[in-house]
Amino acid sequence: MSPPVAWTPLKAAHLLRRAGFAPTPPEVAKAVNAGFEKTVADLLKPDLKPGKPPKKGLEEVTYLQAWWVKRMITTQHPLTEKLLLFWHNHFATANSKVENLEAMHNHIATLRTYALTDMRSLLLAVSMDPAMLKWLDNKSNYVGNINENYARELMELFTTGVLDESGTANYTETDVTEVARAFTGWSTHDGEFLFKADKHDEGDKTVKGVTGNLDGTDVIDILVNDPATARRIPMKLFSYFAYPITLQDPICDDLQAVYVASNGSIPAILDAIFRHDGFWSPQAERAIVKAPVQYLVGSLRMLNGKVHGKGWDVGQTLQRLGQALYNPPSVFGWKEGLPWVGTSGLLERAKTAEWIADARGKKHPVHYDPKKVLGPAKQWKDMTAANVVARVLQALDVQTVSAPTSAALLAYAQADSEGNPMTVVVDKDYVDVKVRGLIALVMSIPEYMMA
Amino acid sequence: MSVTRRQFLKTVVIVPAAAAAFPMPLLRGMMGVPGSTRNLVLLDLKGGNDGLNTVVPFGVDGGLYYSEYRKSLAIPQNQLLQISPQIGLNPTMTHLKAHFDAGRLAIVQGVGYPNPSFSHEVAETIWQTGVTSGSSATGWLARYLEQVGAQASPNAVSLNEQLTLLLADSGTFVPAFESLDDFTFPYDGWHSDDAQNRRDCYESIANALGAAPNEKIATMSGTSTGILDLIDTFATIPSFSHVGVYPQGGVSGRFKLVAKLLNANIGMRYFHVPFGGFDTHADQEVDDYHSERMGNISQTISAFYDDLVAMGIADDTIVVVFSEFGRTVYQNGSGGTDHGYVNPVLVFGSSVAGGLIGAHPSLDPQDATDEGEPPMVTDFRNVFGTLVSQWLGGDAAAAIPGWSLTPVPFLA
Repeated sequence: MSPPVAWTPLKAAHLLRRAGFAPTPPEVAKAVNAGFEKTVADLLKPDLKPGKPPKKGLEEVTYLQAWWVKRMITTQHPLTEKLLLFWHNHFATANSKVENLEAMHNHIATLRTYALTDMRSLLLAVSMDPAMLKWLDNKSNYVGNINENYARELMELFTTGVLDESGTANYTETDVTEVARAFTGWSTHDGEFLFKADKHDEGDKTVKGVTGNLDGTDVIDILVNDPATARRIPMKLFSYFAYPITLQDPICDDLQAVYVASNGSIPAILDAIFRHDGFWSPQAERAIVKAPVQYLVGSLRMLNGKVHGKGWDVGQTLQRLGQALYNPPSVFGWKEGLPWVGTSGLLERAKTAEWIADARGKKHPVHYDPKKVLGPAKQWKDMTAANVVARVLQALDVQTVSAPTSAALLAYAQADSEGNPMTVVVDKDYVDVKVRGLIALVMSIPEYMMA
Repeated sequence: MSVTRRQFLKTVVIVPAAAAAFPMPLLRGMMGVPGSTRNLVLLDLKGGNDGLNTVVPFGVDGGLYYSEYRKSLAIPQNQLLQISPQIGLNPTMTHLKAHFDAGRLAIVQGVGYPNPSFSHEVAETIWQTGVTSGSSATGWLARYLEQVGAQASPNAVSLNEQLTLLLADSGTFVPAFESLDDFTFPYDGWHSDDAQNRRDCYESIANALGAAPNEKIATMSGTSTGILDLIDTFATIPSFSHVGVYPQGGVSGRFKLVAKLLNANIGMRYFHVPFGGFDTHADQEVDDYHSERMGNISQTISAFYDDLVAMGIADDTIVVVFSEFGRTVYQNGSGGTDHGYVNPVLVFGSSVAGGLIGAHPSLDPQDATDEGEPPMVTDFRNVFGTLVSQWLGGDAAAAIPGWSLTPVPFLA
């Protein structure tokens, strides 16, 4: 199979920017050398290790968030992490109601185990996950006294969606009740899944035209094989990895066929997305607004930054940026796209940029070296202010900026403490003030927000 | 150093003195349109508030169904704050009961729309856009803002981390934030000698709107400029001593912020205040969860009113309380209720014509909709349309496209 595009550093960077957090120069070089096929195959290799959070991480969510962020900064399997973030948002289960960080860690670990398998396996695992059973109340869904919360969201959010591409409803309110009956007794005991047979409704149910003594597994089979699911799940994955599309887009036809042919295999769908013309089209280029996690983790990867200690501040920063891992705001999860960069979002990014760029000293949890961003010291004497600006932009993976932005950054690079233009000499002091300043500024501009 | 946008604006627009504790009559009524002198606070209960335990129909249908369907959740009649022979308020709502008696609270009963959605996301979209197909991405209040046109400083605020759909796509800058404390720049004053250079650079980049290569980047540039203006504005607004006695926690913090912003008289008039935690599928009254939430709202609105009176803007301000749907008449197996249909909408203020508006929907199963829910009495588009046309002086037909308004009589 020949690659979908001529395999250049720019194309490799686009893939890595989407399938991971940032295209750092070593990763781009490695991908170019390995070729498209091997790069995609390597990306799709899962990192299945659940990992063991520190004790503090099971007591306070900020530490748990920091622990996961630290993992993402160093991971050799960035696609696993990005896909995991997708599923975390898809199933949007929050500690605010689950109130048990060990259960939340296990929830994410379950998503990690099944992230790159198939929809049926994933949904079955999630339906038996204690955190989910608490989140959507199914643990108290009992025969004769049903609770419809899980049944509804299983269809509305996790599989078919409310309406299909022609605007027709995918299920009725009766289906919701019947699905709830099918899931009665799927409960927990002492924090583990337990099927309470005496609480299960053994009667006949009819779900989407199928009648029988259906239980949760049967319902999952029905929903996983529903054409609406076969269209909607790939649509969501394409929107996350390529650019936002709706159910009506013809691209969905191609991906729906892949879903059906592969029985809902997630790697097959992702592989198809990475080969699709749409993924490589101009429309996909810099089309995704970076989510806070990508903003934070990508920046640190590009700066070769490390987080020392338990990283509580890093968790806090993520919350301020608007993506509190393990705690999505509601059952519909975080809204992706421009909502990330409204008033609060942009303001917090500008502040985070400063916090990272100005990180100095042992006490600061972030460590990076702005001198290394600029390149070897022996080259500095020949660098002009324009070279410095270009180098910072390149290090932070910003290809093009508008002329006024370029002019503003250059003016900054040349401004002395009174704001007047000065002759630039690139030495350690200059790096410590101006290069850090340029890093902070580039991380605050609109172009930097787009992946 | 180049002139900042804020400095430039000062030369062309009258900026109200920040030190004034009371509104400047000069600025108000400048446009001659009622809306320009009036304020609107929309309290949006997220998750589907249980209206049946808020405005309790204990006597409706001879009192047959309410307690029959809610074996443990039904509130006993003798505990209710009775406001009519059939209706009583949740016992925690003593403050709003007093306002009801004084004629300041209108309760529009049985509000909904035909062919309802029981999905949070779809129903929210419908209430916030006024378009029942659920396909619009423009808020009805945003369409009103569009009619008013861009202002020197924002006139609407989404009190949330992300911009609410209600205020989205107006063509004007609507800030979304939760706290004024966030508006500091730079975050770390470490290199204060270079901070001004950084600020100037950020500002120059933000101001170069014309050079944006695409819409997303242009939008972000606009937001950046808006942020810088707000940082300057918020740095000078006065602190505000609340006259009202607010409860602890809940939604009180947000209303206190609204009061402070109104007092600052910086042009902010229309506020969307979301309040979560109403999707009570389980344990609805464990530790009096839902009742306490309603009590918090009741006391907050009352304290807010006291602040409005002190500011002299009580007659110019209305608070509307709504939710994307109500909950089932029956309670489920988890001590909670599931997604329902119609709900009361509360309209509060000294310019309101208080009382119960519309009959309470019948709870008799024979009158129920196809989904087994009590039938609609008033369409929500009439409630919001009335706000747009009669309270704000705007064009209701343009704000809620495809809807022919029948006004709801909640205004004096």
